[in-house]
Amino acid sequence: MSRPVSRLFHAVVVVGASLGGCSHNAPASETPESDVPEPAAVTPEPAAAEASEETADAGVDAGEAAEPATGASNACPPGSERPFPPCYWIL
Amino acid sequence: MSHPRTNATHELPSGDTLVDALPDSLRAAIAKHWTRRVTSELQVSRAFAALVPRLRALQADTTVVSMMERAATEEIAHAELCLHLAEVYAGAPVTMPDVPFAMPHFGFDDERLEVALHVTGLCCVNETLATAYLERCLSLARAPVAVAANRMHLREEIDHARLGWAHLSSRAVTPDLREQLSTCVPRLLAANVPLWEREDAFLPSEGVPDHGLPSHEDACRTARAATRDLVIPGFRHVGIEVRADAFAG
Repeated sequence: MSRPVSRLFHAVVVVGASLGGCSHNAPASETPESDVPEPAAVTPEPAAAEASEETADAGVDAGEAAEPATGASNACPPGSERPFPPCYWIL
Repeated sequence: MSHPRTNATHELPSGDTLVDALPDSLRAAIAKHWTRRVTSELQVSRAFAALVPRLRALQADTTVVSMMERAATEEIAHAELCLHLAEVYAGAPVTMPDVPFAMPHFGFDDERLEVALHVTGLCCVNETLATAYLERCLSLARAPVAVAANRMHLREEIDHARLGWAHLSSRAVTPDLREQLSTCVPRLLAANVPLWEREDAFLPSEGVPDHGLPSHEDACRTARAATRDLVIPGFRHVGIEVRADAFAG
């Protein structure tokens, strides 16, 4: 899997699945690439939406800042507003 | 049928020197391309809108229902965005087309499965492929109006794809439903992926990359790669077993 597709996988599938986990239990993760950030290594930044105006890649990185929690009932990033936490904005 | 306007402000440029530099015939072709996309955006909007009460009746995850409701409105805004682009490239007003629409029926008696199939086809397959396609369009685009439009479109399309994965990962989709979906997904892929591989009826096959319109070959390659590396692994990620060669074309 190329890096852009891997990032998109994380931004779309992993983050999407974690939204279902906001209210309920998400199934166990199978992330196909290891080059996505670990949950503990990223901090959701509302300002990511502004920073993301620069490039598409930067935008997807901003999306990755969203919590990629899998299988956890507390999947939403701390302080985020459900159901559309600002940190889920991509570009 | 007429369509409600969102009154959304897209803040896109009303002109573009790179557009002005194009030959008239190519401008007309791109305008037709965007007018066609108005229709597809409105069809998706109506499908999303039709699913909202059905998801609610099934007591789907509230996050999913809210996202679906919002997506229906955003797709109308996308249609307006496409109409704006059509007008920029045409250099003249373009009429919002009428849109034929009928919600398909998969033929199952189980409403949970029917709805799950719609969400899967619309969001996990179609909108997810759209994110890869739009990301490719955005990476190619140089014309400011095309850059702005693709960026805006991609941002919201990612949420529309996510809501599908959110639904499939929620408790609304039970283990028996997951099993049924795993047998249906290859058919959904067979129905949808070839649509991404059709030649555009108006654009030259080499596309217009500076205007965010990839060549036919590039678009096919993007759709195939996204099916293989994004969509099929996505199903496995949410516990729906789909073979890697589920769509061989």
